[in-house]
Amino acid sequence: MNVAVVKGKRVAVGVGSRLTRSQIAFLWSMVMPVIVLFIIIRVIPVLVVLLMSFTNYNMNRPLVRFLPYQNFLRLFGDPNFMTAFVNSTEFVLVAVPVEILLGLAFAIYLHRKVRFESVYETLYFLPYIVPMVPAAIIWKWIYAPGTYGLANYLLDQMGLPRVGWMSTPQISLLAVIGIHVWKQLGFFVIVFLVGLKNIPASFREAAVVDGATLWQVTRNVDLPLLKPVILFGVVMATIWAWSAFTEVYIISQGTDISTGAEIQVMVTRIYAEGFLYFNMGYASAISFVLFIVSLMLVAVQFRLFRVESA
Amino acid sequence: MIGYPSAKRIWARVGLHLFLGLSSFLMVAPFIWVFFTSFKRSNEIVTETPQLLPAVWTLENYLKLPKVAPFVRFFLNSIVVSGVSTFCIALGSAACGYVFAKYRFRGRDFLFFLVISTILIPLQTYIVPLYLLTWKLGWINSYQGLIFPLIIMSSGIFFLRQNIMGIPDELIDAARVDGASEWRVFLSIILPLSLSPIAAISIVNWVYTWSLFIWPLIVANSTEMFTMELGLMYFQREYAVDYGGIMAACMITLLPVLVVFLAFRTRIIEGVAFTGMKH
Amino acid sequence: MRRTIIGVAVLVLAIGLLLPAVNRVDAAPVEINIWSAFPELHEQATWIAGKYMEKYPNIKIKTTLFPQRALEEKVAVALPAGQAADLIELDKMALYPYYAAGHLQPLPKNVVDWVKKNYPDYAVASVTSEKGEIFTFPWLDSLKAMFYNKDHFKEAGIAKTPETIDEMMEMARKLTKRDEKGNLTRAGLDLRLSGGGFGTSQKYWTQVMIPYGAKVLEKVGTKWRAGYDNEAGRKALQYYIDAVYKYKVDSLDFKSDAEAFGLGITSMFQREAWVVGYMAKNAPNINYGVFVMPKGPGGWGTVGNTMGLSVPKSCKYKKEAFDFAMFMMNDDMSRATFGDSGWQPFRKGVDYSQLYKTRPQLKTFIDAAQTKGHVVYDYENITPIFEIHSRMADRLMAAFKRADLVDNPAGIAKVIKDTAEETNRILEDHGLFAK
Repeated sequence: MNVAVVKGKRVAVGVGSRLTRSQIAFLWSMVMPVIVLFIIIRVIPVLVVLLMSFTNYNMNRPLVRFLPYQNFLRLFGDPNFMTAFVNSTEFVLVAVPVEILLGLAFAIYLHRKVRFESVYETLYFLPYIVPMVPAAIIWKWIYAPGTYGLANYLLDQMGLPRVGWMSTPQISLLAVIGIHVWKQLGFFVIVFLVGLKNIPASFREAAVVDGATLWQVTRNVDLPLLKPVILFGVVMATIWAWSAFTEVYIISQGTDISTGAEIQVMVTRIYAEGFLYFNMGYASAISFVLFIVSLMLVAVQFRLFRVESA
Repeated sequence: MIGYPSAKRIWARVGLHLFLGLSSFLMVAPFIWVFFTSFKRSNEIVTETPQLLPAVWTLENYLKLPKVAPFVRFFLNSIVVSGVSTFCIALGSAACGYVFAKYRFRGRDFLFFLVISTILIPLQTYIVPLYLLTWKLGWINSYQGLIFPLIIMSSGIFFLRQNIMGIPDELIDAARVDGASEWRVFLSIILPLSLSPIAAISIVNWVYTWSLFIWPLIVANSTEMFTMELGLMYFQREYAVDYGGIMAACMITLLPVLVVFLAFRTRIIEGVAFTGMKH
Repeated sequence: MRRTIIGVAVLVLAIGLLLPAVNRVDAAPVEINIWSAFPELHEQATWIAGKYMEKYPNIKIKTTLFPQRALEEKVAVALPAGQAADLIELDKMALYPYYAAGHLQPLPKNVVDWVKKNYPDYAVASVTSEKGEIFTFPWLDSLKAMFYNKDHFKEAGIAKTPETIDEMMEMARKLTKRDEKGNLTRAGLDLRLSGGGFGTSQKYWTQVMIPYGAKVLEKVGTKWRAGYDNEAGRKALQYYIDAVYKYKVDSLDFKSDAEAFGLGITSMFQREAWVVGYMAKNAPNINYGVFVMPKGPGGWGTVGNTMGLSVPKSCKYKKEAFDFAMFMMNDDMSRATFGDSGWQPFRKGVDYSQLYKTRPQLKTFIDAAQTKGHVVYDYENITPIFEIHSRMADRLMAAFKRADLVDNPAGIAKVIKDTAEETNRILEDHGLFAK
């Protein structure tokens, strides 16, 4: 660590491991309040929930019994939970690659100073800002059975067989994942665009001067420099896919859908057990599993990307 | 046009536009439907085969909005909630992102992972303790109650950290050597260089708080504290949905978010020019 | 740059300091809050509140709407904390657990007398707990009957409405139509095969369990047991399976419910009185009628679940809340509610003849409640009843998709057995299972 004495104050040069007085002041005035808020608003409620998973707390029954493992044992024998776990896993396996790859592809294309760039960006971003409720209603109508749904109507017009979008379990889960991806994609396009814009043009220029083609530039200059941002994207996409709720919830209501229980996911399970059946202890146990798996997924991703902090 | 070698082949350019155009059309198609449905009469909406354009254009869905519920109030409430929340997270995320990216102190990584770990847990899972806390603070059915869980954004801190990591240390050191205080460094170097990611997370947070349903639902006890998203409930009849009304309300809901996005878009997209770094 | 930030910061602080002032709600002399779960009822409550406030200007009534599921969540969090409204409108099944946990105010004696005088006996019975207390007003009745398309019937040469469920299946087969490719174009009998939750099991209970004599729960002493793991219960499921896969009068890939009926693509379906209002607004050209649920070899009746109105113990103005509730349910207001919102008041002895002139189909619903031999069932007053029906619905919906259950008594028996075991397990968890 290099420390210089300038104008009588110690200045950390080269970002050493000791903080100056000014840095400490900044830390305490700006950052600590945020950390404290985090603890109050997120950490403590979450700890409360995790503790609840070891009880049989039911909102209708004031008496609480301590159950060291029963809730978790029950999880493994519960077909609803197993279905939800599998579905959420499928959600992640399908949504994340599609969102990241398409997001990168669109961002790279848009970054090439295409005409109408701003129009395309706004259009890509539109699904992200449409509220989920009307969006889900529109999608339910697109997937509706018979000729009432746009999708089957178009298939009919093209002479193709109709698809039971909402009546075949495998298809309806993919259909819901499709809605999720449609809605989230704009976020990733923007995120990767921001990352791309922050790469100094000089690096790219240098590569071009060295005789690289377009794709070589992309592969060898952009993508490596985008690694931190891609890591961010992958982590967020994973978490959102793993804890997807609203689209599944809204789609499974109403009378056009016949695959209610087959497309349930982890958070709809938590919601059902906690808010419909009031089994708060059991719901908390599911939350516990949700949390642990998320933690593992994120840890693995950080390791995979091996991003060193500054 | 600095940055990429120019694509000489015309078909490549045409192909590009075709790809972008088609995919953006797919992204937008449902929204087009929302637009047209908002102008249809209710008996035209559920039909045997999909009809895009209304046979009879009507404004009745929009006109009935204020009669059904005090949507103006809902709108203002949403603006307040989203506005205060977005301002707080923008500032907070930038400051914390800077500290996590550029400072070194014991416990830094632990705190960072503490922050990140809270991203993993959706609101539905810990909403009950949060509600009880809000109740104890006496903030049920108040703006404070609506806003306070929304003034921190862990993914915002994450994103800003990742982006600030890319700011060259030399810039910061140069300023420090010149005797700048941390505040000066933050305000004149970090913030200007981070406007792009800040704008990005501001949009994301605005959208998130604007369409958040479950928290305002639980905290708001009386109609005048509702946000726009809660207002959409008025059209979900138990058995049949008032599609026209929902689509009209949706269009109105979209407008501010669209405006905010367009306003921030240039910031996001124009990005930052790294001038002054030529050695 | 810095100035902008400071300027915005000052603005935010200013707003923050002003907010507490803006938020203060002035206290009225007496204020009653009502939480509604359905937009039509909310409109109704607001209008009725207006009338009431004209009569009693010192009482202020505020009505707020939360859609059904949302209201249940809100009540789940707010009621135990004493933060709920003064009158809560929810299905009786959702209200009962709160009563059992001691959060609801049982009706006082004068109100009980009024209810007993103005409501049918079985309505009163359905809202009376084991302890003999009435925990909610039996305000509205979601009685189910069959809607049918008169033009379809005439076209198929069917001259009367079915009296038994077998007749109904026969007629459904005559009414069903397909196109050249074999796709269903008209469903003779639109069954509730889809859609989430206990609505599906509710319709199933009405459609087939009651006619075959299969009970969801049967009482054994003070405890309960699943009452459908028997021949009647198996026959009930078989009816649905045959309808979809053997006689093919309905399909999973076909539009359903009031929307489909309004489009004229279904001939018969089961629903409540509100459809009449829906049809008048959205499909006025359909020529339709209503008939009472048909008989079966094991019974005759329908489900009429109660929409309740309760007062929490934390309410500050209990007397005024009860008074307003009784006002909401008087004759004039009942007529208005039935006519405007389509929800059927449970009241007896109200004269609806004016209403029948414009909405003749409503008469069948009112008569059904009084037809001799036609039993109106409601949910049992136990805490896990909602969970039991919801989980049953999940399993039924999975079974409806299995074409392999046609002519497969063993398969059907297993489904019924597994479902009944789950019902019993839920009862066991709550200490209500009869061993």
